[in-house]
Amino acid sequence: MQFHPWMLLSVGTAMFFIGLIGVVVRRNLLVILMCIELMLNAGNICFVAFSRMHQNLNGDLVAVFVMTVAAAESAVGLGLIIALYRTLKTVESEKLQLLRD
Amino acid sequence: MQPLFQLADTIPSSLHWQALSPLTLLAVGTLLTMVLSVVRIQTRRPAQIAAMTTLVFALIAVFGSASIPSADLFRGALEVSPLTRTAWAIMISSVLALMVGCSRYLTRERIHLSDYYHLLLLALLGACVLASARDLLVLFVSLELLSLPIYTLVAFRRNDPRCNEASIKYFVLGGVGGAILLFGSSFVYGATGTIRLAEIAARIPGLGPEMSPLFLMGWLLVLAALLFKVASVPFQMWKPDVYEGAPVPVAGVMATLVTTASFFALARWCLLIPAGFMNGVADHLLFASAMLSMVLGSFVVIGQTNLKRLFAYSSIANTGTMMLAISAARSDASVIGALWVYLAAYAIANVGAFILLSLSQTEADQGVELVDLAGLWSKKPWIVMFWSIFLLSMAGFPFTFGFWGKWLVLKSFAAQAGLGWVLVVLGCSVVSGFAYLRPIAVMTMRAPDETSAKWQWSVAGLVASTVAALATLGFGIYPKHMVELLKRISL
Amino acid sequence: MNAEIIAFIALSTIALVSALLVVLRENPVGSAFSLILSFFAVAGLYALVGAHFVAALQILVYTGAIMVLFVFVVMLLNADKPVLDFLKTSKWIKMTGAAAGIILLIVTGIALQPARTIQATGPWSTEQLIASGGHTRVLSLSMFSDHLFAFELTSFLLLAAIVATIALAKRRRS
Repeated sequence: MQFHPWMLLSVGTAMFFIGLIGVVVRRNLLVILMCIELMLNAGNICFVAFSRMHQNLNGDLVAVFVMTVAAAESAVGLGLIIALYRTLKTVESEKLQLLRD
Repeated sequence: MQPLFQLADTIPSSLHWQALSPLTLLAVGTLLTMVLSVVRIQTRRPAQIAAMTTLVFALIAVFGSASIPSADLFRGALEVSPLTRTAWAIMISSVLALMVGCSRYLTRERIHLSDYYHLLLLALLGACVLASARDLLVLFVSLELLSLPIYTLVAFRRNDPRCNEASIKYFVLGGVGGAILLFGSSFVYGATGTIRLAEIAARIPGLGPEMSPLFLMGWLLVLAALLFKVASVPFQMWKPDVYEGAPVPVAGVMATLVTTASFFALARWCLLIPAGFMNGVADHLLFASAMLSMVLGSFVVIGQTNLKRLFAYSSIANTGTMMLAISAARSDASVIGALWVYLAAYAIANVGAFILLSLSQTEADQGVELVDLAGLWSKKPWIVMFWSIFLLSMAGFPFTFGFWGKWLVLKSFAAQAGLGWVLVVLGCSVVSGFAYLRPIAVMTMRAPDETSAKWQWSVAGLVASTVAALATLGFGIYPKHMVELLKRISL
Repeated sequence: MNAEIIAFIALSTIALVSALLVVLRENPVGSAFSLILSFFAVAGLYALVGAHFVAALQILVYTGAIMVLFVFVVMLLNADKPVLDFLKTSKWIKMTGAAAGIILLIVTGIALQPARTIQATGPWSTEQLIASGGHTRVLSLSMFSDHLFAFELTSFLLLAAIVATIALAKRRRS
């Protein structure tokens, strides 16, 4: 059996859906953030896999830039969580009930 | 080793540098604002002046570069054209008006940080690039550059738990949206082999029956992420909560800047694939989403008493109408001009409305409710006049700019859809019209109440809202130049 | 069954199992460490397919910066106590979530079928990369010519993240 990039693609897709279910199911905000990072990483894997398929370098480059963006986004997200913790003293998403319709 | 890549055609020529001057001025101005803000750390005055000067210069640069022909710069990553210049003009002027008009709000809430201006300028830079992105990577990065400062700005009143909650909600949903955008982009890249939108559009006809499902799935995922950003059904639930929790100027920025930039990107994305691609799945989905947003927004807006939630639902209804214009333009690309007119009218009306909203004085503990408007006619009649102008423009009354936007969208939509759908659209307009008239009725007819909020003019607010009101009425009564100009801009 | 396939199966199993553990573990610190392990495995996968620079960045940026920040914040907020938040989620949401996930996975699998047969050839096959000086060299040259604008924009994004985080952390001066 010869290695083909679509195997990497399946790994990426599976990881994306694991992350998506994690965001929906979990209640702890930090774990939700980790699942968002999982999803971004899965997107990266798919880009690298397609880059290998088309023997292009655009996919690898997108992966590099996305890593940077993910780092920036996680820094801001963690800052927001800390700010939330200072006022509400919790990181459980179900305790956020103030803004309901 | 011999050089593998050429740099020559990446760096723009001098003519194109002039076309890029608004973006360059914004970037340089942002950096200068940051440097100047440490001159006097205790206040935000240096940053405020520097930021407003930057915006004025950038706006002048947009009009100054008006005659330069369209081009795709940086090897196809960024577009400069009349379309992008229109987008930049609308966005820069909205942010300038909001910055000027809501400055009294910042003083009253004791938000002394000059980071407010830094973040606003950075978000504006991201929005301008988003409106002109011609590349999947630039689309993603500019969307994040637009979003990250807004997440922070929503949390700016840090002792208010509702602000923090709103920003976390927005952040989580926006983060998921960005990840979905990325995942979808990877499929689009996988099907076509390139990340430049121009080349993707060129390769779509050549996609065989094997690659089309892959491409369509990727396209739909990116569409879902963009629909989240403009709050269209089924991704609209975040908008009322986040608007209610955010500070008033930030909610105004979200209503005008984020929506405008996302609509330009959305229009570009929706018109990427031809009509009838893969049995018209995309057409049906777009139409359904547009109709449902309009209906939902129009009906739910009636029951709202909190003014910010009212504007959120009205924004959802407007999003639906604008998406109808996009879905009409998929069959006939020349009608996309209706969308630009509607967007401009919507931006101006919302800017004015949020500036007026920031003049109220009970933002700290509870939101501004409808009852706070009671009897305003006897105390501050000019505020009521201005409110009426902006609310009527949102409703689409004649003699306002909003009327021409609604009229053009209806005309373009009626040319393609059946009479039944047109009646649905008209019905929703009438229904939402009641919701816009209700605040006017409360202001003029209800007796004033001692416990309701105080409204206080500020000079800056007066100036900014006068400009917005004049624009709304002026372009409504004499639409010829503005409407014709915007109508003719094609994608 | 050559060594490449065996390595791929091993690394992808580690990556996917630890990704599942991120979602299923009750202790947030445990989730963080599972995520670190998953990222390491993914870096190994990148190196396996020949994207060496991306593999190095994955370890440096993702595990070295982002996950360290995560573990730091988890410890700072005392969130390392085990939280059985799964039990509080209603059965319906869990089942709907799992069902939706499986449906999405099947739909994506169908959409991805043609990917198995792509034999596209492009300018940068492995032999070409080796001949031109390696993956890193070609990637960096491409970054500064084809994607120059994205590069500059990302630097503004990092600036925005710094300003945003500092703005969130400042003490209020009244």
